Amino acid sequence: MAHQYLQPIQMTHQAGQPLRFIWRECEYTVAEILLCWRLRDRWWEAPGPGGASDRHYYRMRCLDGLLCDVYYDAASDVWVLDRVHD
Amino acid sequence: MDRTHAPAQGSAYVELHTSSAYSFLRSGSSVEALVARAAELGMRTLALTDHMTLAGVVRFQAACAEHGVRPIVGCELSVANAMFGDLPTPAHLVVLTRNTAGYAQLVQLLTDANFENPDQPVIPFRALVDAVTSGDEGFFVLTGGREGALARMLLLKDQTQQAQELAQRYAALFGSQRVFVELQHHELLDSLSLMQRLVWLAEGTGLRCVATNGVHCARQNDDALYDLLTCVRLGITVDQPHAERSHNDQAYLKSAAEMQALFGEVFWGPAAVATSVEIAAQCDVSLLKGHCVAPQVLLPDGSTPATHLRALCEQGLAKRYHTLPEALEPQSPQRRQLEHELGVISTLELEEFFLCVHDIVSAARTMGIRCSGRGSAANSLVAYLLGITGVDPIQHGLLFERFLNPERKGMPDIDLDLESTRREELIRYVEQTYTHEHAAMVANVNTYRLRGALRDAAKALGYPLALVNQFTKVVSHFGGTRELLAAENELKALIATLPTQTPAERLVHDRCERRLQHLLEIAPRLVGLPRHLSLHNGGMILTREPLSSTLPVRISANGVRALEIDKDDVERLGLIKFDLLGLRTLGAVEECLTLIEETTGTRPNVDHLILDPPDETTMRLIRAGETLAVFQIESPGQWHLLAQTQPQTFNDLIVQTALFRPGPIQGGFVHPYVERRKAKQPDLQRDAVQTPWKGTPADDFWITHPVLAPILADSEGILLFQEQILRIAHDFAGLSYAEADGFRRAMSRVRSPEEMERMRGRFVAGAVQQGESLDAATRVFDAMSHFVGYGFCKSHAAAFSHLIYQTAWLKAYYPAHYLAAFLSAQPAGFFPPHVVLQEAKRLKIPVLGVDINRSEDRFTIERVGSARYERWAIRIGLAQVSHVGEELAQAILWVRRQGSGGAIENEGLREQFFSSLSDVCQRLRPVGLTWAAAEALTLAGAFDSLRPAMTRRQRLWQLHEVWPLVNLPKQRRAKGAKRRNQSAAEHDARPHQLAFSWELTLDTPPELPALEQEERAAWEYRTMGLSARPHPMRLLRRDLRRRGVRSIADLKEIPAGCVVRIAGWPISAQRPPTAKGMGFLVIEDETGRLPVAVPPQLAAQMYRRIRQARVVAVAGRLERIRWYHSLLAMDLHEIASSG
Repeated sequence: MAHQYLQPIQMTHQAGQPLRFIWRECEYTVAEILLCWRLRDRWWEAPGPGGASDRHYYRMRCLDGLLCDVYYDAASDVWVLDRVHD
Repeated sequence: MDRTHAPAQGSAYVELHTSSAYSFLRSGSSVEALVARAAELGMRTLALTDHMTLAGVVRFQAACAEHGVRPIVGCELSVANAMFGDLPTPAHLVVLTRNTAGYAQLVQLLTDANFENPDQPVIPFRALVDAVTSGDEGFFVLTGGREGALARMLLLKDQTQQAQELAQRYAALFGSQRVFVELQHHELLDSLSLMQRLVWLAEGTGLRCVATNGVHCARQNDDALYDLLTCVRLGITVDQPHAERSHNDQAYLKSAAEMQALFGEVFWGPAAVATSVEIAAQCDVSLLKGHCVAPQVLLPDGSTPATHLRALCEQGLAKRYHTLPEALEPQSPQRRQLEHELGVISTLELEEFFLCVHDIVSAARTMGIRCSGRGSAANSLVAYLLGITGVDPIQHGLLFERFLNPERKGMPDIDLDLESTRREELIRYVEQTYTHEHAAMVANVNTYRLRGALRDAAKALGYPLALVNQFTKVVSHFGGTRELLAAENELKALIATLPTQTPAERLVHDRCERRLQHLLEIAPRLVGLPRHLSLHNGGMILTREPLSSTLPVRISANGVRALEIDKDDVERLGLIKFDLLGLRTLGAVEECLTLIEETTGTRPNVDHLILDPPDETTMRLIRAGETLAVFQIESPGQWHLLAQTQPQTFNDLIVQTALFRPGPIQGGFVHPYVERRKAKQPDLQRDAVQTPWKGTPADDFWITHPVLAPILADSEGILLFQEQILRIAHDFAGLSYAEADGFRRAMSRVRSPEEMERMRGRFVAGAVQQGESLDAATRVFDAMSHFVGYGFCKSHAAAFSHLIYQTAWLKAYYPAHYLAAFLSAQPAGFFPPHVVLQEAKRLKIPVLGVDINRSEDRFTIERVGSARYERWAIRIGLAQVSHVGEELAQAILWVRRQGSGGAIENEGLREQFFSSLSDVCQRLRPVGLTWAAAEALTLAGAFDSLRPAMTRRQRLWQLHEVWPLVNLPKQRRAKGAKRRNQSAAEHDARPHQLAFSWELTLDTPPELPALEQEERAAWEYRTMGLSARPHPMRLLRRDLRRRGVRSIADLKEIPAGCVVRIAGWPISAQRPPTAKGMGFLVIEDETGRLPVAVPPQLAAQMYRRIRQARVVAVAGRLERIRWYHSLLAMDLHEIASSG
């Protein structure tokens, strides 16, 4: 079971590799990156909501046990918490 | 035994799965871009595995040779087999050829698949297994990426058990050393898990894994192009999802380091990467050949190719020079030249090549197909003696070395022009004689041009089709990025015309507006990429070795077999291409000769007209610019030049042909030539017309130099022909002819300043050694280097001039016959058919309308007039009527000549004339007369002569009455009809005439007004594109005169320089890229034709102003050279709509 949030987050990263992020005023530290994948879509539109996206997804486990999917959208230069797995 | 390549130092990975744009809409990068990128990434080896084609392998190997990359030839195959389960589309397997035997088997597999299903070829799995296990060890097989059966079973169906069984079958059938499980890591969500499962399958079946990246573009940012082309291929827009579209931009050519990093994450990854190098080391197929090999020809017993060729040349010598016995003497120039040419041909081992061309030409002549050789072949006496070409190279000073010399590599180029309508017959002959194993047509790789790129890109980006059609009219076919960007505002204006009333319309409008920048950016990137394969318009390959050792053969929609090779790659493969080109003018000449023979009983021998001196009547026609319908010199630009040059000899015609080309015009060579011609003809008035080629003054250096002057004498001191370059390099700089031809070809393609300087040094040093001054040598070299890219082959011009002369001769002596034949050969020439017919009227040749009882299928000739004043008239053919076409026209003639009723003698033929409209409909309906054709024939006046006589409007009324009745079943039709034939016995005796035997009872049509002249003309132009009636401008004349508009004939009386107003039909409009923005329009009225030069500012609006116009008015300044009148336009506008 997973909950989708699609909410922007503040991510601290090193050369693109996520280290920790703040979501709902709480900080989460990345303990382990389990999987990476990339999706590119709507390159024919301008970047933005509903527009072009170039997402680098990370399925990660945080130190407090949170298992979530986060992506960085290179087209819009934003980090987003996509979903949290139970 | 194959070489095994040791892995090059530093080559840690070889890409074994690469699709180029030759996969046709399955890749975003050209072969050249992929190879260049591989070299940039330090890759020593690269495999090309296009989907179901080898069309790109020649370019691939050439590009690899250029970049120092070792090529591996492979293919991604669509394979069908029951054990793949119920996959909706064939599974993909990649094969890599290890040796030439494997390559030949791959070619055969693809050829068989193309023949089995030309639209969607698929390889039967069994055939692939047989090829792989044939004992030649010719293949490696990779299981394919996500399109492979293994991956698809695991991904789509979760059929792990079946996938395992399939892997076992692969191992058992192909052999575990020949098949590899392919792992691709495109960084998708399921990439790792899929690879993990594939590795597990491989381990369980004893197979090894290999890493590939399933490449579809050279660089990451080409992915959008790949995705867009995928949409074009699938016929969807970018908004529509599809399983075959890419999910991200990772299918690009990755470096060894990138691949090692990607696969380094998992323990089995590095081994899979390393396996790619192992496989690559065992593949070695080279297709590029250093020389071409002629096809084998049949020889008479006891002959060798050399003796047979000599014997044929001896026969030709006696035949061609039968009026010049001294040519047959041992030391005659002809004999010396023949010996020289045969010696060169022998050195180059080209005897069979010449014999082969001779065989094809002889076959054409035997079949009565008019043909003529063109190109540099006309420089050869051997070609002339064999009947391949028609111009005597000795008489016209043509230079054999331009055609062939001992240092020239590759095959000489011989193109044959043939009557268009009979070209297929000759192609069938060649295929049958040289067999399907050795003969096939050449394919043509159609690459994107700007207009097509804009169309496909716009459609895929979701632009409405109507808007896409408008977009494509904004840019030219061959335009570039700059032109597209310059058209941005015009495209925006077109988008602004989209309706925005409803929310849905607003959505479309906004989408189009939003995506315009993407369209402008991506469309030019498509330009140059291959889009699809088509059939070359005349190229044919003849091989010595079976075609299966070269490339696959495809079969076109109309059943023509074509080798999957682009015409430009033929020589690289060591093959020989013969161009069998359809030329409609040759068809017109042949038809004209047939018409003359049928109507006069004699057939002029136009192939043996005396060219030197030429016939004065013919040359007078040319000098007077009466050249409409004459080959090559019928355009207004040629009229202008003819008025200035006034050709007197056949050689002048050769110059005329070569002079009116973009090269000489852009290079400013026309003006000096004209100046010198004027100096020789003091009566010629000053050239008052402003032309784009005004400029360079005549320079006496060239006509006074003792060496150069004789070389350039034919062209008035102007460098015009490639042959002149050869002679200058030989006589002026002391180079051998072979060296001189190499020099010419090198100069025409050299781009680097260093190479040019090296050639300059060689040329100048040679010239100085010959006693020339340094200044003169430098000057000549500079002129040649400027010219050489534009030079025209004199022999080609001579071959064309021969046809110019023949067509001018026919027009001069048999104008009605020639114009009738020329009209039947349409589309041919510069002007549309109605202009050609108007030319006949201008020459006082009566034109007779189309008539169901009199017309043939094509344009014909009839005698008209009284016994004292008899003339030839042109009768319009039935096929000219829209919706009739050649097939129905011939069926009409067949019915007319086979039909029932009383026979009527019509000029020797027993004709069963149509008696009434119901007779027409009943007899022709069974042979395919449609309503559209019947209506068009009525409107065109084809039924005017039927009984009872009535107006055309009434006839149309009658057609509406008759048509429903002839379409009724026979029993119902009988109720409203009476039997015409007398007895049942007679009826039974002619069962094939059953359908013709009813005479319908019809009411008399009501009184309807006769057609006005305008209406009649309009109906005829609408249905035939022309009319037998006088020019419609005559109907406007009174009104035009009242408005101060002059007729074109009036211009003879008006002094040059006056401003006049003229109105007429626009019959031609051009803006050639060489004319610096000028436009050229030709208008026509009932008295003649007038060229109009349109200055750039006005020319920019020319197309828009005349696009819909039937009649345009032009105000401009009158210019005159001899008989040539033209206007320099000051204003241009439409005065009546085409309606």
